[in-house]
Amino acid sequence: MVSKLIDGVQGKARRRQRLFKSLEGYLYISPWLIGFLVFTAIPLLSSIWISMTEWNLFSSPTFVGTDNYTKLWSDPLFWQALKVTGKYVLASVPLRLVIGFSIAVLLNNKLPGMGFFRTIFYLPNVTSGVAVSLLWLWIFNPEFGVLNAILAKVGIAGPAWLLSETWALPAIVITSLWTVGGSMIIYLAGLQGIPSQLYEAVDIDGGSWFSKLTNVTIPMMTPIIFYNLIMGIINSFQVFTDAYIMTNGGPHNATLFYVLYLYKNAFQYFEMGYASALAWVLFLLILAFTILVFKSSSLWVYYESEVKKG
Amino acid sequence: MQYVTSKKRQEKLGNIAVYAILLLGAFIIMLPVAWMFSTALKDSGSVFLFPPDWIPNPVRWDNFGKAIAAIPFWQFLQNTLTITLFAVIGQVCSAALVGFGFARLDFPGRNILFLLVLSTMMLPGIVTTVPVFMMFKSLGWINTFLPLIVPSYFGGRAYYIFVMRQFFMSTPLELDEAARIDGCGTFKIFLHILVPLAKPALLTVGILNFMNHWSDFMGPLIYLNDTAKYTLSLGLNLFRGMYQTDWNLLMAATILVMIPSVILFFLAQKQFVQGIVVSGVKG
Amino acid sequence: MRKVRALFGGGLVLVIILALLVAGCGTKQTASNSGDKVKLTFLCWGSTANMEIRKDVVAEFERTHPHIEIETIHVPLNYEEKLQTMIAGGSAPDVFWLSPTNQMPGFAEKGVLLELDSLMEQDAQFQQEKDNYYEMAYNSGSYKGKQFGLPWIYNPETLYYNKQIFASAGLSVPDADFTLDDVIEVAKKLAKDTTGDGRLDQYGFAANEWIGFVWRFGGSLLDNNDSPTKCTLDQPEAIAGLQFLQDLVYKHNVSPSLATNKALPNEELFLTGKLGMMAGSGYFIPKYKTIKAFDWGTTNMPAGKTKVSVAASTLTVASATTKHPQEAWEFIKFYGGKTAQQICIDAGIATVPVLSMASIPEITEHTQGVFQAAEVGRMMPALANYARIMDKILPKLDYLYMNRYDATKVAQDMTKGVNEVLNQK
Repeated sequence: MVSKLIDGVQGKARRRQRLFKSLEGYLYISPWLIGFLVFTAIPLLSSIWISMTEWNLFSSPTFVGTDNYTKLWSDPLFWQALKVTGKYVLASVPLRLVIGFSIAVLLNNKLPGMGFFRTIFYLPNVTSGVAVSLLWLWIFNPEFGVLNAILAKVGIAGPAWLLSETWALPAIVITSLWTVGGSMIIYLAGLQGIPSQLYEAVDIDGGSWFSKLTNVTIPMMTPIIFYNLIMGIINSFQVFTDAYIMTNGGPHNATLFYVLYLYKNAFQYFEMGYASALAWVLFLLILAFTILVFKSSSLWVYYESEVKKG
Repeated sequence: MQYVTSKKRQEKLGNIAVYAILLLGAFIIMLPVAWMFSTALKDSGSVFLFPPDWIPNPVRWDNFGKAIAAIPFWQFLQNTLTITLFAVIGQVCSAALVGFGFARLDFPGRNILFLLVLSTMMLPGIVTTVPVFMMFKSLGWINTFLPLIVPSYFGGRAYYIFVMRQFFMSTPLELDEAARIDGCGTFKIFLHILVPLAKPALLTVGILNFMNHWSDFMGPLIYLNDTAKYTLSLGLNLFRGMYQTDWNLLMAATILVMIPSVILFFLAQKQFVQGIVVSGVKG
Repeated sequence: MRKVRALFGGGLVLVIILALLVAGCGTKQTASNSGDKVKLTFLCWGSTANMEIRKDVVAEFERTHPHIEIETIHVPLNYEEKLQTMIAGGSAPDVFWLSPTNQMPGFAEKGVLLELDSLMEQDAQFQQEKDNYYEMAYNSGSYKGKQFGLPWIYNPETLYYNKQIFASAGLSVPDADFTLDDVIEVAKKLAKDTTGDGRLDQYGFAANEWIGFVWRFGGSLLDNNDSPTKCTLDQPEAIAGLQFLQDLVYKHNVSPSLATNKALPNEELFLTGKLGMMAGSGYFIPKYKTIKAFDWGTTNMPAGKTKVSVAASTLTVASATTKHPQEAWEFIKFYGGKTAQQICIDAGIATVPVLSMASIPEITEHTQGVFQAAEVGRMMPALANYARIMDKILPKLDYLYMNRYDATKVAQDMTKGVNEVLNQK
């Protein structure tokens, strides 16, 4: 009886502690929570409602239920946009991951001049605006562009790039690789956090740089790789400004990115309702991929600290 | 003796290989940037010459001066600085706090809420432009800097909350536990242990966010009306006319706008090479 | 000591930041306590060059209309996005610019624009001026029989010619009676490959507006401009026009290829003395006036079956929800009126005023073509679904220019696409 009493008291204390811990957690995330409720939640909900209407932005929206969603299904441009974007994601995400990681590893040493190199690789991310897209238009020009001029020197006849249905998308993938510096510096920051003892341990065992890479660097970097993978997926599904300026979806819809098609519907075709439906379908797609990666993370991502539930 | 020199040679070869790859990469990366510089220094009439010249002739250094004079450059610069500085401070602080909460603290619904955080990045902003505009209009914030600054203090972009969470989750718990045994509260642990450890991450968030706001175009476009409040990114596009564009001035202005971010990044390099993090407890 | 310095440094930073914040907020809009002044918001676009001119026009308007104040919102890019967001969000500008072909029909169709007819009828002064407007320019502001705006600039396309290139070839420059056949004959003599690399270095003729050639051969885009039921690009006349465009590059070898144009637009080719004749908008005249390397002139567009010049203009329109329709009309009328036109002409951004005026500068060889072409100007039909229709036409046009398909197939594809959009309604 006494033990039960003690259990009861201890249980109460534990429960109170758990309550306190939960409140503490909510306190720390409260800035985001408040921001979400005030700035994000209502527009998100509005957008769901808009996706069930036909709205030209000027007159009152007309409710049409799920018509927009069924319209999607039989819209050939929807499927084209999905195909183009899918191809882009499959090409761009792994390439950016590998290249960004490799360059970060190369740059993570104490050799002289590394600061200079890091700045150079990051420079593309600092350039902004329309000027860059126009730059690429010139670089990729089949007759006057620098790229084909260089290829010609090596004896290759360069393709028509942005004017070719086969090569326009690869051209845009190439431009996306130019800005790999963004993920690179996140890797660099992560590489800083790897304790040197781990490398020393490999040295003592007589291991090579390759062994260091595979036994220390990569495993310890999995949280950051995970981050760049998820962000890569989320971002590359929504790419569109480059295509808008460089090709406007052409030639012949070969670069009709999903969000570009969405944009056209929203602001050029006066179909905000349909555009919203397109947006939510994309949302579900990205969410599905993200959850997949999250679920898989227990298999390959290693955290130094796992805060278990309880 | 031989073992030592061969290891040294291996190291030297390794270093040469590193430099070779980096130089090749740097060359490829810099090609478009070099073209930008080249165009920025060209005369109006020679921008579209064929065959295109790499070296402009004549070299118009005054294009930079012209670019600055053509638009209210200093006003735009001041506006952009104001918005960026305030927003970045808010973003770094709130990302750290919220990321810490998701990484280190346990509360019901944590995983679902985190997924919610991420999901805010999954909906293309185009379809919320109008509802968000209406929301800010009802707050009376249209034509002020507030829509561009205040959200940063409330978590800002989920992107940065995510990265801070990852960083915090990669730091060992031992330090926390040791501090708790010493009687430290959660906030003290956050401020005195985790934040210093996460300096490279916080710096990265700061730099990336600085760049976001520095070059943000759509936000200022939609929310600002007075030309006097415009930012540099809007100003850049004043070189595009209805039928024709002053390409050389556009490139010159783009380069000028780039400079602060580059300087910031270069200066921050020191922090990136602060060396390995002291892990202390293990081993 | 370090702590004190750190505190001081931090305090200094804080002060600087606060100062910037105050400076930023200081320009916040105060409520319009400007007495009984009517305030109009005016949305517009334009590059640095045009900003000053626009400011002059607005200032002159405010001077002559002291009870009206104009708040200008200048949009550097993505004009439609900002405009539509403002309208959808309930903050529609009182007056704003629109393109009569690209934008006005769609907006008018949705009831966003103020109908000006009643205001115009009550305005006695305007009724006297009305007939002075170039018919095409004036009509560009109407949709389905109602008037929604007045143009403030009118740019027909004209035929530019490089006198030096003609002189070197021993030919006389084109005159107002040139036909398309004359153009081909002359262009062939002007086109040269001086470097021997198989690519032309000097082009004979280039054109910017494709629709003009459909018209010149007697074709049209739609069967009926006011109530279109089908696209008529698949008719023999239209096909002939499109084929002409393709032949310029691949049969007669006088025009630059599409790839060339993407890197070097026609107007730049002309500017750098590489193009003998160019059919382009009168808009380029101010820029070309700075050319020193060669003499140039303009003349009327060459005739096919008909003589026609593709014209463009920009309208000033008003929002249907404006609280000050009368004042909005005053502004629209002013921008399209003699005073504003004089300012634009003096500043050099306009050549032909939208209405005939006594005080325009003397017509020179530079500007004669624009005035001639203004008489035969024609605009694209008013299409409420402009963006969708263009997305069906322009990609196919690229195929034409790339020599992928001949004009017949391209025309048929275009027609099919446009009919799809027309039937969607």
